[in-house]
Amino acid sequence: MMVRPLLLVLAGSALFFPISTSAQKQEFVRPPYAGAYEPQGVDERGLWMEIDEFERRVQKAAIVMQSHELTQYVQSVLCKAVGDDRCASVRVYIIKDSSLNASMYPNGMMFVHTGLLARVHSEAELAAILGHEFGHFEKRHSLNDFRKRRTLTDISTWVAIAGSYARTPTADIRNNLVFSYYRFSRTQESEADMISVEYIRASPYRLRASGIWQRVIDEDTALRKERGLRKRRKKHAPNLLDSHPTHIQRIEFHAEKEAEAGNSGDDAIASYRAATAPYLKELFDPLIRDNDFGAADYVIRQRGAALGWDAQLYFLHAELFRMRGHPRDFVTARDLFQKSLDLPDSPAESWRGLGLCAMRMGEHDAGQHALTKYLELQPDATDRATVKLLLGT
Amino acid sequence: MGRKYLAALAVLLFTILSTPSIAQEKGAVLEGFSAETLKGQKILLFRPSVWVGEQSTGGMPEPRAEWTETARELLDAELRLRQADFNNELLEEPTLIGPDADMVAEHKALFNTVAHSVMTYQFFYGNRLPTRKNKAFDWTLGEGTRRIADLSGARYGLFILTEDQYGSTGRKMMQLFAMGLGVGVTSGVHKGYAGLVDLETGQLVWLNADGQMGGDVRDAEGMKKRVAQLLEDFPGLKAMEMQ
Repeated sequence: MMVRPLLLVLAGSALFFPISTSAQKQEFVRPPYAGAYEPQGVDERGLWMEIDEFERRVQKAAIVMQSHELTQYVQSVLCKAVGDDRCASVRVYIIKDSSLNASMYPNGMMFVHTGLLARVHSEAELAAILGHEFGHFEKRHSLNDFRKRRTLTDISTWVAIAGSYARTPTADIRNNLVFSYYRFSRTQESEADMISVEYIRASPYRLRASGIWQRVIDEDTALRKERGLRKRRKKHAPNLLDSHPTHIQRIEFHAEKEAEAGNSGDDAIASYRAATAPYLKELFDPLIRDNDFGAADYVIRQRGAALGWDAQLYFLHAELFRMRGHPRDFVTARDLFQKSLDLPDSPAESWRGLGLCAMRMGEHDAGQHALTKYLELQPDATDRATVKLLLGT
Repeated sequence: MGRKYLAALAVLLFTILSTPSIAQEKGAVLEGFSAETLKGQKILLFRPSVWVGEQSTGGMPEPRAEWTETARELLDAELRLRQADFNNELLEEPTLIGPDADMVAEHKALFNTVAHSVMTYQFFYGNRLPTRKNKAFDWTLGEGTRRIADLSGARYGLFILTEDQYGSTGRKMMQLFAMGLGVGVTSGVHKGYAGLVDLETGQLVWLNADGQMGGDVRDAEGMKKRVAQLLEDFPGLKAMEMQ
């Protein structure tokens, strides 16, 4: 049997964290670490069993990005956010997925999507999200959720049967049971947000989370604009079937907490840029392939504005335009490929992009030149045969 | 008005709660494949997939760690006992690391997908795809499995899966009350399949699947029955009495 990861059990205080009104960082201390944790009771043991089996498959799954270095880096940010003792109970998997998301499983398995890493701009922002996920784990939210769903579906079934015997409609009651599940889910999400704030305030990081949710709104607006849709109205209160608080609620919550916490702590922007720069292609690829041009364009521009443009980011931005492929896009793409090539460490694929754009714009000689250059730099390119066909050699 | 609700509920309960119990084929063997073909060949037994739990009143599966662990141990023990009944040597899945481990994991996932396709699109009469109509049992995982044969020294690979949800007390009570309304509700899910793949070619040579299996996998006697059902018609078994 595999060794179970450790989870902390709190030494019996009613309050999870001492809430201080002071902005002094050192006054926030994490509660003591109480040792190994094994799942308790039938339900929790069952869930862990199920997820342990799932994790065996996840480890080998093609959807997991196999980069030890980047995974270690994300784990190290988690460790700084929640403390070394706590983070030892978590195994991080980076999932190739374009969405801004991370998820936590009851046994300590954590998924972090590439789409999240593409969208956050500092370790502090990443830490706030990882802290939220860890909050779900520490408070055993998966177990609560499972029990809540079971109780509600049980009640709903009995209500349906009783209603049938009594010849009384029960749809309203049962709908309300469904709504109460989502209300419960939102409560757990808000709790995880609150716990995350406490972790970060006890960590070396600055509390910075509201910006992420503002950008989520702006990204959606950019996408809708590109598609010619009306901008979404500001949503201050959740709908009945929302599993999370609204973005505006989260912005307001975090902005208030950030104001309380002040400027103490480190954003760690430069280290975030340095750690993620070698993986930009992997982080942005699912986004670029998603066919949500407005969203991908927004995310790439935001990264460039916040962390600076490098050759790789220009290349990815150019690829986005080239792959959309309107005639006007080739002009933009060619310009961006050129910008990438003007900077050090531009990928060889920039030459390919430049060549393909030129060809599509009818500039045969320039295209030939760039594509030849591409094959020179990348003699064993997987698309060598296709490119040679274009070159006519 | 009451009647209307009753009817609506009946439809609702039927669609949500009952599993299809329409008769379907349970197994198939590749044409030309027989005990003779299998004689003297080694068989690699992949780590079986075992899930045992309860079914809540509302029909939610509730995983149970103890039951699953017990069932897994009993399944291993029973298969070892049955070794004598096989004409073949059963090998355990080797512990691998690196690219080979990934490759094996991918093929296990692929087998699951193919097996489900067979069950859905071949065994289920009414659901046959036009490309599968009146066709012989002909499915393959591709020749990539040859590497598994090289690594393990086995010619064939045996996959086993069982999933059991035992109806909780609440579920059974609810079943009774629903019966009073004239609504049929199932309690419990018991399904499993076993399949054999020719690792040299990737060809699926035998598959036996059942959506309503017998035998309580939580005790030795029941597991004996379950394994007997899973291996029913297995070409490599010596002639013996089936329970």
